[in-house]
Amino acid sequence: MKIQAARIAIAVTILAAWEAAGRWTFAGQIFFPPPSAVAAAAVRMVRDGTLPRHLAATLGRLIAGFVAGAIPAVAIGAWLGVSRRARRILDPFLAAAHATPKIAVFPLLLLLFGLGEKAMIALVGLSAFFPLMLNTCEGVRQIDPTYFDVARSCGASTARTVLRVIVPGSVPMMLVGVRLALTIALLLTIAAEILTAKTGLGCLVWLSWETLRTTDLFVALLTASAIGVAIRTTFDRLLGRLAPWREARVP
Amino acid sequence: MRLVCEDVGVDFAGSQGVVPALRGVTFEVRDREFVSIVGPTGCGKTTLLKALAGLRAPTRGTIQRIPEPGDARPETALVFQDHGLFPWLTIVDNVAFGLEARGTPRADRRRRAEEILETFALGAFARAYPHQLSVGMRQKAALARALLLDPQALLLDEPFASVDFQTRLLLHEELLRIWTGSRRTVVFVTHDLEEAVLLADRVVVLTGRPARVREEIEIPLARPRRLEDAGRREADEIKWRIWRILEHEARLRLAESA
Repeated sequence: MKIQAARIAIAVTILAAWEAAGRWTFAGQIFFPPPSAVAAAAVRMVRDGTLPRHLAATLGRLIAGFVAGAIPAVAIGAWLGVSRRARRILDPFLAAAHATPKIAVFPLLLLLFGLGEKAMIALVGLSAFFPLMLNTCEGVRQIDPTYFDVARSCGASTARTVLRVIVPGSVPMMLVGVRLALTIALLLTIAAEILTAKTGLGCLVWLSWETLRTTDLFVALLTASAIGVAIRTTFDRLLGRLAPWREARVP
Repeated sequence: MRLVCEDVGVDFAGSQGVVPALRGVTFEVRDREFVSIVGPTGCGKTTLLKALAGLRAPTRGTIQRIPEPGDARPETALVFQDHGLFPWLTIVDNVAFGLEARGTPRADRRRRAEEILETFALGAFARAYPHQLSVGMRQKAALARALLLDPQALLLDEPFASVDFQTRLLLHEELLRIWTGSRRTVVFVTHDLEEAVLLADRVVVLTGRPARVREEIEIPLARPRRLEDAGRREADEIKWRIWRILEHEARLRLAESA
């Protein structure tokens, strides 16, 4: 309760200082338009359909890219988790590919797919692939081998072992991977939009800067941040729901 | 079920080459006999039990599981050290898992799991997850899972090692009651000598790694047994006799680890 009160106090203080600086200082008028002005701009942008349109474009790319990356990530991750041999052979290649900053691959993707949605979705998919694949692999790998012995000693079939041991045993870690992947995918979606798109929150941020409409810039920025927060809270809750047997130990 | 081990050897592939865990292990467990296996810590008792359960093929020698004529029940069920309950299943689903693996319909296996949980005084915890139970209750649930399979031979791997002394007494009583109620072959691995003597018809003493059979000792205490029998003079004498066999190696081990 005290913590909650302190949080509210901090939020109010920040907003009040911001409002004051935005109204009464010269720099504030240019760089930090007061919250009231940002709110007014947000209302205007929702009414005239600008914000929904850009938001929809960003979410569409984020989801399409994430799905494109997630499906092979889970399949390959599970395979690597089960097969020590495959893991040992492929490890250096995966480490190198994972370490490559994905945004640097974007020009190559533009060359391959041309300017447009495909290249952006490919970039987002690529960025989502690695964290989810590695977490899935680790999720399967860290399952206590005793549980496989239990399944075998009870005479369980392979299908039942997958259903009752591998899937539930790796779900918590995999969900953490999904969250990580979505967060990184959001970053890359915005980056790709800044570079090439005519729609999306990234494009909106960039356009607002170029035309010096700082209120619009803040609206786009806060919307993007809200997506990030939504991803985080959704998955923390999902983890508690889908894995009730363990405390949500999320880094 | 009769279990016959002949010259059983199991090797592990370690980072420094092949490490033998068992070497030339020969002994027999008779039909419906209760045998305890004791030996120095880390001597390969668990490996032997897994081999008996068919989870690990011996590198050398043979293990025969010979059913009594006409007995079609599952051959073995294993109670794991530290229970081995799935943390993601409720207690009732954990206990029913053996039946599930054998294709028993859901409603049927649930009902039977709930029945056996009642007899273990765990009925109220059927819908709980393992982490919500005490160590002793978890161990009972693990025992219930194995017993629900109604195996011809029950194999237990230090099942009570991590429970406190008083709970262990209760679990001993429970196990004796179950075994007296429906006699079956039991192989009970432990490092607790008193427990080994109290429960078993015969104690098999293993040497340190690689394990071999050092001695087999009949326990002449009458059945049915009570916890107090552990304090009898015969029991005590046997316990100390086993200790003198193991003492030397225990000392070596202590010196090694220092």
